[in-house]
Amino acid sequence: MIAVIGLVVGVVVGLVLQPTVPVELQPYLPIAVVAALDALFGGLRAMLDGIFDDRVFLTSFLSNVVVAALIVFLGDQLGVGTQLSTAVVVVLGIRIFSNAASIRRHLFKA
Amino acid sequence: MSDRPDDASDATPAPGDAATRPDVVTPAVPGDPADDGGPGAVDLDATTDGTAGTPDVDAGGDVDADLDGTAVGDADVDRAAGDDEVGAGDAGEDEVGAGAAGDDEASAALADSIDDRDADATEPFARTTVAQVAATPDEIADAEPVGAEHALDEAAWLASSSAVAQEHDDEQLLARERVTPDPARTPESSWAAAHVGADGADPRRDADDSDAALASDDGVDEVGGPDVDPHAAAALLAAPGILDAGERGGPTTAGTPVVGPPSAATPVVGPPTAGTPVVGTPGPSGWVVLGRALKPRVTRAQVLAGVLCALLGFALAVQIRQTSDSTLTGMRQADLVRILDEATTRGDALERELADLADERDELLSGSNTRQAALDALRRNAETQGILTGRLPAEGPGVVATLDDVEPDGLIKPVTMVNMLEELRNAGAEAIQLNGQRITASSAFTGSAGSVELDGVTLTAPYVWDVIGDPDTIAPALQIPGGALAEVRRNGGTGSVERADLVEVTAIRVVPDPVHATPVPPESG
Repeated sequence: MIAVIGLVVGVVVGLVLQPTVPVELQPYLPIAVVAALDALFGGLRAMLDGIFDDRVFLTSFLSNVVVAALIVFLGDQLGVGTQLSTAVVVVLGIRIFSNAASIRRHLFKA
Repeated sequence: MSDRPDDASDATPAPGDAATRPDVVTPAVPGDPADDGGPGAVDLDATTDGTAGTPDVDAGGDVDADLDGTAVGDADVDRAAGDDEVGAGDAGEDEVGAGAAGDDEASAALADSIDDRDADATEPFARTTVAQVAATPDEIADAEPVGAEHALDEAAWLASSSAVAQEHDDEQLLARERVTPDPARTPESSWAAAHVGADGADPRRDADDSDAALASDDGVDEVGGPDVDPHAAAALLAAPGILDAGERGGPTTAGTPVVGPPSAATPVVGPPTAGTPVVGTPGPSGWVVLGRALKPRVTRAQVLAGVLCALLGFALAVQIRQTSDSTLTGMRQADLVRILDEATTRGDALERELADLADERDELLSGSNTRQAALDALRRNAETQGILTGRLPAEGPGVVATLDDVEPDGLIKPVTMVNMLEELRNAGAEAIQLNGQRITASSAFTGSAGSVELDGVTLTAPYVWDVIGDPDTIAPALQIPGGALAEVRRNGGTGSVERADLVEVTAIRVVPDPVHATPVPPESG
């Protein structure tokens, strides 16, 4: 519940403050958000599986974000920015779908 | 992780399963946990022979399928050779435990078990049973009115509760767990009872860990069952088959069957009760788990999750706003280059189109000018022709010649008029008018002396010639000796020539269209 409250608070703060993202970070923010979403879904699935660990959640959250941003940055430097970015997004999407399916099985038994 | 000193090897949960996993109890249940030499209610007599002998503690891979804490009972699966433990109709009753065997016995056994749990904790299921059970068959027979097959269940459950509630007050524990035998109780309720017993009864855990373990949303609490499972049950549950049946993805299924203590505790925790349809007994549904998880509890895990979610929500809102506001500033160089190329290409195409349209416009304009020029040329031509042919009145510099004859010999003859006309034309007269009649190319003088006719109209003296032309040429031309004017004077008539700056030839003569003559067709090529 606190997590849900936190999410809502974060969204509200983001809408109210309307901060401008630094130009250097702008290409990486969407990837980081998707990676964080993946970590969130993973945590949700772990909770339903009964194996949730806050430390694991924290580390997976942070590592997902950092690694995803790092991969995209590296791709930009190497010249394959769009391709690597696409790959990262695809993989994160697959993971999100897999976690969502597991959650669905828990909740709906189907 | 479990910090129970006596659980060193048994209760260590799988690595990823969190510190929050409750201590898996490794009670010395099956045999004689009390180690008092006598079975009592806690000991297991699976063969219903009145003693908890060797065959009774069959830890050979039996699985507690109904999650009642023991590997015996209706729904449980006896996978090993020893079929003894699989009882009938004892599901509800088993977990009740002490009541079946007698309160006194139960309390005694509990006290003993609590005291001696340390000693028995690490012993495997089978060994404990074998060692302890055979001591006092008599006591066992007296103390177990319910039936041997139930002993394992109740003992297991009871031991688990007692083991978990090591420092708990015996009275309190008994009061909570004593239940009148009720065959109608479902495995779930008995499981719930066991769960309840264990839930609040582990003061040994660290404060935060216990809270986390018991109350957090990390899945342990909702699972519940593992808290209570006795060592035996845990070991049995560890059998991979049952666990896998319910949840294919069960991450913690150690796959270690039977007795292995360390792995016994681990797999019990998660999958079976997290909504996995274990054989015969549905665990708490995902919604229940979710509901329990949503209860707000101030624990480290929850706060951490809350903080991370806040961060995520913040980033999400910012990114969405960013995307909606400005799309170009956030794009990467490659994308911008591509956009630039497209814009340049389009610009070039538009420029070419512009040039084409301009040419077309110019062409259209010039075309109209040409037509206008042609029209103007035609108009001027028409005017000229009109003047020359007598169709239009004209004005300009010229001369006015006046001829007058005198009776009877000075009468002017038509031939004299013709000579006059020829001399004027020769001098460059452009428009000639005689007595108000226009002279054209087809004009003719007829008649006789004294009554000259011009185009059928009789003229009367004096004859006034209005001539438009160059005065300096025409005037001297008329005065030449031997000319028409000289002849008129020789005959006695009078003739005068006057130069004028403006002579108006207003008379016109419309020439009829030719009837016989047709224009020669223009030669092609």
